[in-house]
Formats: sequence, structure tokens, C-alpha cells
Amino acid sequence: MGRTKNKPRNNLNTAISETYSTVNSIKAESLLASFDLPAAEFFALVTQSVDRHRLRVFDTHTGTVNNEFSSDKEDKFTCLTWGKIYDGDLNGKVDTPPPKKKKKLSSQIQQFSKVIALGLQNGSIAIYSIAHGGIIKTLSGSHKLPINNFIFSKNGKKAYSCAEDAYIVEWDFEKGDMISKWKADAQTTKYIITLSHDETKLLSAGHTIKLWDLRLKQVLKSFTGHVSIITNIMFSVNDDICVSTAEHDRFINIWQCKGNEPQGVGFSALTLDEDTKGLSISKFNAILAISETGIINIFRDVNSHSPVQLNKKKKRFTTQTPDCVIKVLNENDNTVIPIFSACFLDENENEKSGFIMIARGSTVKPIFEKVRFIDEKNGEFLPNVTLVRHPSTGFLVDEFNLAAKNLAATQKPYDESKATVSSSSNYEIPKPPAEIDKPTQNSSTQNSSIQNSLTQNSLTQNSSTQNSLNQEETLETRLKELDLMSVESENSQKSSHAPKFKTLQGNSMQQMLVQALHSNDDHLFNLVLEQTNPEIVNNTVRKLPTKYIIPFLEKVITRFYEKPKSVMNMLQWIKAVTLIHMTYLMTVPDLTRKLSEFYQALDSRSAIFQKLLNFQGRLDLIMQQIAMRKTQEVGTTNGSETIYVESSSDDNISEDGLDIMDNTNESVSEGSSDSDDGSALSSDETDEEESDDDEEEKIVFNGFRSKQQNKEMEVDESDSE
Amino acid sequence: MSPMDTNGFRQLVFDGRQAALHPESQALKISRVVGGCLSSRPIIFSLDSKYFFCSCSNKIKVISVTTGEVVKTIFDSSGNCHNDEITCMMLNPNDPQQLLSGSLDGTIKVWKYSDVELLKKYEFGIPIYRMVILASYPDRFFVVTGIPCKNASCRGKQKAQALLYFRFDKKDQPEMHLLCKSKSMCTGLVTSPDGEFLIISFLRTIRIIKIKLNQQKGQKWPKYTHSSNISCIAIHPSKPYISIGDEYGKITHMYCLKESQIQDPVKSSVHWHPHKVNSLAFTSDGTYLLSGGKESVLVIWQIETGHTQFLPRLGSEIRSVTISPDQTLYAINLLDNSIKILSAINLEIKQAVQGLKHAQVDASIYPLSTGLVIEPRNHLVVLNGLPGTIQFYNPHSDRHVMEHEVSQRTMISRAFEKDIVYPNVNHVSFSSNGNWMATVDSREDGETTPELYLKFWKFDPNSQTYVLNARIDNPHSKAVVSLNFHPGTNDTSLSVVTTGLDNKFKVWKINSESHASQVFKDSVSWMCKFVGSYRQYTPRATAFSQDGSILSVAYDSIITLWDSRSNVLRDVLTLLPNYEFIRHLAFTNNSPFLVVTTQNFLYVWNLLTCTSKYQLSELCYKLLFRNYIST
Repeated sequence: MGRTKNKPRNNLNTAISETYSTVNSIKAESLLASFDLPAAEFFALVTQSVDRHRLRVFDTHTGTVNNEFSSDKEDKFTCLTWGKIYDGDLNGKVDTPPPKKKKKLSSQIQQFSKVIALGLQNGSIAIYSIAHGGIIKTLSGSHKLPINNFIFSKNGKKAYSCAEDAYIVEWDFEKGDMISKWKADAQTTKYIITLSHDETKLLSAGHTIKLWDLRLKQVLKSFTGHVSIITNIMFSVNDDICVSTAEHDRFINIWQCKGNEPQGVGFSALTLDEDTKGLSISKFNAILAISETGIINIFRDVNSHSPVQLNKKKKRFTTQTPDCVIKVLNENDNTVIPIFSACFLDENENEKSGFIMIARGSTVKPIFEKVRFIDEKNGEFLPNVTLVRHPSTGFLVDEFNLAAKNLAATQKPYDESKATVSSSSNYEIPKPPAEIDKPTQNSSTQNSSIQNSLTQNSLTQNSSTQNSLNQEETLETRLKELDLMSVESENSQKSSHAPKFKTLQGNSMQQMLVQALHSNDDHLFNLVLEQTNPEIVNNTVRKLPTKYIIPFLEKVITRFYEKPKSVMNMLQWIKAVTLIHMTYLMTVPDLTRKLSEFYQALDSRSAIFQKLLNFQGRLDLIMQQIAMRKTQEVGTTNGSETIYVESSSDDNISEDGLDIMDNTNESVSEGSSDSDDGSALSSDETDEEESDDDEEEKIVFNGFRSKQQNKEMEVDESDSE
Repeated sequence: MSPMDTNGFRQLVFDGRQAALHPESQALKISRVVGGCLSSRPIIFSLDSKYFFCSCSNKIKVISVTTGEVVKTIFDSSGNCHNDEITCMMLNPNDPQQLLSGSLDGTIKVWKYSDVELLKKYEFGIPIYRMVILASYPDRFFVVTGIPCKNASCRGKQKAQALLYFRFDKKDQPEMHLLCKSKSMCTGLVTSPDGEFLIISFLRTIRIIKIKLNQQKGQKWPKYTHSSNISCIAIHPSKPYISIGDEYGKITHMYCLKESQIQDPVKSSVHWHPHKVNSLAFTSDGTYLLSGGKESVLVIWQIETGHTQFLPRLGSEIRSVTISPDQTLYAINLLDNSIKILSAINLEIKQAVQGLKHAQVDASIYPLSTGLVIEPRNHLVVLNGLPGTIQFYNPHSDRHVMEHEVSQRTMISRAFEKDIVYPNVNHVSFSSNGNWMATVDSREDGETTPELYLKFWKFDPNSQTYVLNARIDNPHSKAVVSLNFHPGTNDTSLSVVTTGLDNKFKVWKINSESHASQVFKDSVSWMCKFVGSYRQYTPRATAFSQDGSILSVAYDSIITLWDSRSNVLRDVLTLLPNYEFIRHLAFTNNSPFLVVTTQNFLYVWNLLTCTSKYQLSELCYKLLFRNYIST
């Protein structure tokens, strides 16, 4: 089942590997690579130099090269192992004869130093100290053929090695002597060994895997299963299972190491889509495998669910597909950036850290990254982790001056180029306007300044007249108005009529707003919101199509948070929306959710005058609704009239005089029909009539504004007065 | 405890056995584990020039030149180590495998450094500032002593010092002579290469002592007075003159060692340094003189021709210059707590050892205001570095990881007497997954407009570093007191709270709107979502509960609890003795408790009932601590 599923992915991956091979050509192949476990602070990498092998040790935190080493002779390194040794036994009895400074400690402290064991082609093992930056010890004399593998015991006193001559040698590390030597197999092939965590058993693997008892040097078990040469073998933490991978093989076999039967059983296998290259096992038996193309596959605890299978069918393999796939993609062309080494990071003893450390990119300049593979919240494996990264560049590395380069690499200069800069004015709450400021309120409230200013803002809005609002406008808006007026005055208009022209904008504002909302144009949107004239606000909002109401409201509310300075304007708009489109808003089902935050903010800020404000709000609502109803009534009568006017204008557009006549009639009738304030307005009416004339002229000049709109404007204006 | 390395990390080491035997005795001992001042004293090269020794408080580190790694630490926990700061080191002239170290605790110890073995200990009983031992006379020491100063206030001030001559007999009993004394600090103590002269310089005076051990009173050299304050001296290896560096940057060669020129020595001077010369060193053949000072430029003088060669931009003020015995390496100690090893051939940096940068910064001007912050990604410690920077430091392996500039910084030397004021990083905070970092930095020199910036940095996985995302100018109208990230891990709903001396606290959030816009997909900006204050009190500290639902802001002695989502004031807790200001505030991990500390008290509040659960005075606290340790 698993295989049929994998088929299409297989194809995909082969496609990737083809493109990858071109990338591969520019990158030096890593011969040996290993992280310094368990903290993965260092990464050792052996690459091919011109005539010899070169070892480099990277600091994974900074990505810099700490050590660089290539031996004087034309040596090739055949294996690489990290180890910790401490010199100086308790009495400091041994004086080993290394060429350089001997390392020994006083009786109390045990200073561990990190070393790398390098297996050499000639059968000796060189111990490289990363503190000294040189070979401090050489183990030789026991092997004649190239070393295949070398392992340290945990206390650094013993070590084991195996070579192509099929011998396993046990070393006394401090003396540098061989303790014992035994033959692992008959065949001369590549062998690898691994030590169990309790250091009583040893696994050797060539074509077959053998489990050795270290005291008796006897084979406890042997496993067969891999066809090709085994490349990786590892014990789990409690030594009950081991995992192995082989050359040109896409299976990871899991073997049972407990039990007594001499023929060991492999009870489970993990499948990858491609050949496996690297292997790592965590403290919780999760297994990490790197495929040939540099993709990481992680399998969760292999031990937990396998025994059931074991009991049912003893000889059958069960296969498992990865629980987590981690790959790094090139930002530009989505090709895979290969991960060439990885390991689990087990920082805590009893807690799954859920991180792996990867080395990716080119071996010339690897990039190290910590990658999370376990979901933070539920602790589950993330099924797919895809990281999109820049391809690494800058391979021209000056090899000679490492220290200076490292120094520069650890210095992160200040760069402001990618940053957005905002100044405080956007975040400052404006001081309450002086002319409406009530000193008593100011002194009496011990409340915060926000609450003060906010409540005052709302008070200002309610109490202030249009004039006072205009006074509070920022210089910018004032300038803009000035600009507008100068444009208008070019059209041979007297400045006294400026308010009239503003009313004309009512329509265009709505269009601008719709356009701004539609195209998400912030600049345009801000232009609209800069309007503080209540009439423009009301008109614009009224004409706003219903489908834009909610987006508009949301946007205004965001502005409300962003720019406390313009809160007053915003509130005006918000208020207009709520008043005019109250009926619509009430039908929107999830509006409360959408506006809850805003509501809470308002609520908390005005908490101190709760009742008063509630009352004021309600009163406001009622008053405005009444006012609006009137307007609407007038509007309808007006509408019918305009139909007539329009039809007449259709008949004869050029006859302006007629229009004017109609218009005056209209306004007179309008005044008389309005029973409430007809008498009060009568004096104003005459003024308006005069101005109407002017306006009509202007319309003729402009030629594209319909009269119907103008009339509506007029009516609104007179109403609000 | 010296004031010099207050910034080193310390670990409380509890000696259980001692406490059991003597419960009243001082059971807690502080030992420095990592950090410390590396470059405050000149380093010493081993004879093969492959290793060098640098003193770090009471330990000596042996560092490999090739790797820059600490090969071993000369330090012994069994009481053999120095109890106080090591002030001087030198190789035993008779046996270069031995290292002598003199300390303020009044002892000189002889170590076999290859084995870290204490060979001998000389007791002087007086603090040792400088020492000289001559090859021909073992067990005889010339030491400079003075009155030790314990508090930071007297640091750098003048204090009386004296040169003493010690002779230890077979039973290690010292015999003491006073050679000379001064009311000012000793600025240099050198011996001529043939061991004939001992030259000591004080602030203004230079004395030359001819060493004849049998009779002290030979021909007496007069007391030379220099026209300006002496900062360092050096002696030419072959010619009979000494070089004097002074605080105005002048280097004076004074030919005073020939008997004929005693009374009126010939002087010649060279002047390049605009500021104080901190160190002078001659190469062993005497053809070159190296000098370094505040300009962070190494000047190499060819003495015969007067030709000068410069190595500028070393990064920080040069404290001392040392030349390796094989004359191939120059070691430069810098004020940023680093040691740079230069190749003498091409003057390229061969190795650099970096300690905690803040250790030598003047803490009175640039305090360690960030505290120690744990970076969540690699669990590094983040703290103030040089002014305007933060340093990432790995405390486990005692390694410098990186220095991150938080504000624009140019290294310029001052033009006038007044020092240039650099911006200082006040606060650093990280989001819980390490994707974001927030910093506050400020600069106020009392002349120009005060600068205050809140900066947000986003982790860039490509370069594996933090990239500046947003800068907010003047987030508060006065200084920022605290900076805290919301513990949430969701990157789209992160928030940061800052408190300022303007009595406000502000909640900053990621602007998710622009995040969604199509044009700038990656652009995320930060904006202020909420400004709060409480009765015009000054907020002291803030803390988020572990689940992020509650924000608590501590005012003088009042704790306010806010709903962090809607920013509504939920509750107010008042401390009982309200004359003490709150210092720290922390939520417990999985229980509804809030822990508050003031100067003398520790409170634990239960947030479910809003009652104070415990209230401990300092005395109680100590007892509890002790109980906790002993159980």
C-alpha cells in the first residue's frame, strides 16, 4: 500500500534530483561530516582538497570556521569521530609522550577537551584537539589497512577501532596501547562498529551485523538482511534495538538486540523514497534519515508500536513511511537545497526538544539552522516542513585569514535599509483642544489622559459647531482646502461660496471612497478620511453602497488604532456609519464579533462616564434619526421634482433660464412644505436662492454635474442648519 | 570581589559539608565560572610563542594561538588558587616552564603551567600590583604595593603606592626593604635586559634603581620629573634610554642610563598620538617601537628613521601591546575585552579572543541595563556589549557568539576633553519562539536632542541573524523603563508592552492589515494598539502570565492587572507596606500565583482570589532559601 502511494512522489523526486545534480557540480562533496553531539555546537567536515583531505570545524552558532587542518603528509581521512577526553588520571601518573604540550590536570578538576579522531589510510588514528589546533596523539601499530571506524567510550579512557582488515581493536586511550584485538569477520570489506550506551556490547557491521559481548569477545547475535555494504548503524538509547542503513538502499532496518536466539530478527523497516545517506537516532527513538537529495525524513518512536508486529508474524517486515519530511527549497527556482548533515538536539534529559540541527547548502560554506519538527502546541510531528531560503553565495573564501574573517562574521552591523520608520506623532494622543477644554473636568479627573482626551473628543464632537471643527484641522488639511479654493476661484467664483463647493464634493467623495475601498488604496482612503465636514461625511456615508459598509468600518477602526491623533475624524466617520446604516448593520450576523475589540476599547476608555455617555449616545441616536427621517422625506419630494427637471433638461439642455426658474420654485416649495423650520429658514432661503444662481452658472461652466445632485446638497445643507 | 569584573557570570556554589558543620558560617561562596576581564592586564606568551596566558580575575587561562581556544585554566578549587584578582604574571626567568602570578591577595604563586601544578607560594601579606624577579636572584622580588580599593568609586583615582624589595630566606620568611614610594599610582616597572637597572615610574616622576644586591646604596640616580602625566614606560633593549608615553600622546626618549648623562639626560620626543599612550613595547632587536592608545591605532615606529607604520581600526582602545618571544606575533589587548594576535610580518589578525564586551565598559555611564536575557533560539545569553550594541554570549562554553549593533555607531576618538556619548541599549526582549527581538536604545548627552528608539528585529533564517524590521522614534516621551514580549507564539498576534517614565504603558502589535496586503507580502509593521496609565503613577515592571491572558503592570507599590486581549483594567493589588517600590514581578509557571519582590519583601499573590498568599521579609526569605538548599 505504501508503495503504490509513493509512486507519484518517486517520480517527482527523480525530477528534483536531476535538477539537483547541476547544483551538485558546483559543490564539493562532503566526504565525512559529523556534529558534535549532543549539543551540536561544532560541526566537523572533511572535504577533498587538492592532494589531501582537509578537516574543517565550524561553530554552528556563528557559522564560522574555528579550526582548519590538513595533515602534512598526503593523508586521506577515512573516518571521523567526535570524542571527549580528559587527561591526567587522578594521580597524574601517566606521562604520555605526545610531541607537543602534555595535557594534564590537577587532582580535583576534570577538564574535558573536545577531540576529533581521524582514521587514516595507513591504519593509524590521529587524535586532533580542537583547542590546540593540532594532532595531539596518534594510535598506530595495530591496523595495517585503512581505518573504517573509531569510537570513544564515554569516559574517554577506552576506544575501539575497526579497519578493512576485519579486525576490531580495543585501545587503552590514555596509554595509546592496544588492549585486545579480534577478528570480526572473514571478509575484507568496509566495516563499521558502534558501541552500546552501557558499553557492554558492540555492533560490527560489514555485510552482516554482529552483536558482540565486549567482555568475552563473543558473538551474541548476528543479523542478516542488507544486501549491500552497511553504511550506518546505531543503538537506541536503551540498547534494545539498533537501526542500520546500507549503500544504495532506501530502507532503514530496525533490529531487535534483546533476547537470546543467535539469529537476530529485523522486525521492522522504514522506507524512504530514495537512498539514505545519513542517520541519527534521538533519545526517544525517533529516527532521522537524510536521503540522497538532501531531504530529511523523520520517523517517530519506532519502538513503541513494533512489538505487536513482532509477535504476529515473526519473519515479516513491516514498513513505515516518514512522519515528518523536512526540505529546504531555493527561493528563486524552488529546487531543493541539499541538507548534507543533520542530527537531533536533545537539550533536556526528559523533554522532547523537537529540534534538529541541519547543515545545508554547499560544503564550502555550510549554513547551520535549527529546525523544529514537533508542533509547539500539541506535541505532534509536523508532517511537512518546507523552508524557503536564499541559495548560499559568496563561496570565494579567503582561506588565509580565518580569524579576521570570523571576527567580521560575528559583528552584525546596523542596517536600517529594510526597516520601516515611524515617528512618535503617529502614536501620541493629541492634547485636548484648548477652546472646548473644560478646566473643571481636567482638574477633577484623576483618570488617565487617554480617557480624558477621548471623552473630551466625543464631547467636542457633539457640542462643537462646524466652525470649531474647522479650526481644529491640521495645517495640512487647511492647506489642502486652500488649494482647493484657489482652484475654484479660478473658475471666477467668490470665496464666500466655498462651503457650497464643498457640498458639491459629497458625490465625488463617495466615489473616491468606493474606489479606495475597492482597490485598497491607502492614500486615497486617507484623503477621504481627512474630511471633517459633517455634511460631506454624512453624504458620503449615506451614498456608500451597502457592500462596502463593513469593509469601510473595519478599515476606519484600524485607522482609529493606528493614529490616535486623528481619532476625532475617525469617530465622526464611525458615528456616521452607525447612524445612517444602523438598519443594515443590525442585519449583519457576525458584526458583534468583528467589532468586539473596538467596542471593548471604547467601552473601557469611556468607562468612567458610563451612564452619562450611554444616555448621550441614545439621545444622539434618536435626535439624528429624527433629523434623518426628515431629510429623507424631503429627499423623496425632491427626487420627484428632479425627475421633472431632468426631463425638461433632456428636452432642451441649452436653456438654462428655465432651469433656474425651476430651481427657485423648487426651493420655495421646499421651504413651505417643511413645516417645522420653514419660517425660521425664510431669511436664509433668499440668500440661498441668490447663491443658487451662481451655482447654476458654475455648473454650466463645468458642464458635467447634474443638477439633481446639487439640489440634494442644498436641501441637506439647509436641513442641518 | 573586584569591581573590574562585576559583569562576569557568577555561580553560587554551596558547600554543603561546611554548612552542616557550621550552620552559622558563610556557607555560600561565589565563584566565577565564565566571563570576566580578559584584556585588562597584559598577556604573557609562552616561550615557544604557541600559547599565551591571560589573567581572568583569579584564574589564568592558557590559550592556543592557532585556535584561540582555552587549552587549560590554571585554577584550582582546593584553595590553591588566588583569592583575589591576579594583577601581574611573568614567566620564571630561570625556568620558562614556570609561571609566576601575583595577586591582590598578597601572594605570588609559582605554577608549572603544563600540568597546572602549584609549585610554590610566597606570602607577602600586602596586595601586589606589579612585580619583577631577576634571573640571577631567585627568591628575591621587587613588588609594587598600595592600598587596595574595594569600591568602584575610588577606581582610577590617585592612591599612594610604594616599591618594596623582598627577600625570602630558606624558611620562606620575608625580609623587606622599602625602596621608594609615591603619593601617586605606579605607572610602570621595568628592568633593563641585562638586569642592571630597575626603573619605576609614578604619575610624574621616574626613579632609576641600580640593582646591586649586596649594597643598596651605590650611586644614586636623581628623581626625574616629567612635564606631563606619565602613562607608560619602556626600556630600549640595547641602548641606554627609556621611552615614556604621556597622557598627551607624546613619546619621550630619555637617555638617562649612562652614568655620564645622569644629571642632565638628553631627551628626544616623537608625537603622533592625539590622546594618551597606553602602552609601549620595543622589539627585541630594538629597531621598532610599538605604541597604542585610545585612537585604536597601532603605531609602529622605526626608531632610526622615524618612519611610522599604522594599523588602524582595531575596534577599540588599545590597553596594552605585547610582543611574542620569537618576535613574530604582536598581541594587543583592547578595551572591548578582546585580545588580538597580529602577525608581525603582514600585520594581519591571526587570532582574536573575545570576552564579555561589557566587562570593561564604564558601568556608571553605560550600565548593564538589559540584564541577562536568554535568547530562546540557541539559549544564548544576551546582554549589553559596547555602547550601542548587544552581545550574544554562550555561557556553557564561555564563548562570544556575536555582537549585534542596535544603533548606528561610529568609532571616533574625541576631539575635545569631553568624551563622546554613545547610544546605550536599555532593554532587549525576545518573543518566545525567537522570531522577533525588540530593543530600546537611547542617547542623551545633555546638549543635542535626546534620542529614544524602539526597534523591532525579525529573525532572518537565511543569514541566521536578526534584521531590523521597524524603528519607532520616541515611543515614549521619557525614558523607557521596561520592555516585555507577550508569551504567545503565534507570529501574527504578537504584542509587546513598554512602560515609560512618562507614566504610560503602551501595547504594540504587529499590524496584520498590511501583512495581508498583496503588494508587500513580507512587510510587517508594528503599531501602538493601546496606551494605558494608572493615576499618573510611574510603572516599574511588567509581566505577562504564562498563557498570555493577563498583563500585570507594577506601579510604585501597586500592581494592576489588565486583560491583555481587550486591555481592560481587571484588578488592582496593593502591597501592604507601601513605602517600598516593586522591583521584580513574575508569574509562576502553571499556577495562578504572582511573585513580587521589593527591596526587603517577597510577596506571593493568588490571582484567583486576589489575596496575598505569603509575605516574607528578607529575613524569612533567607531562611527559606537556606531550608530549600539544605533539604
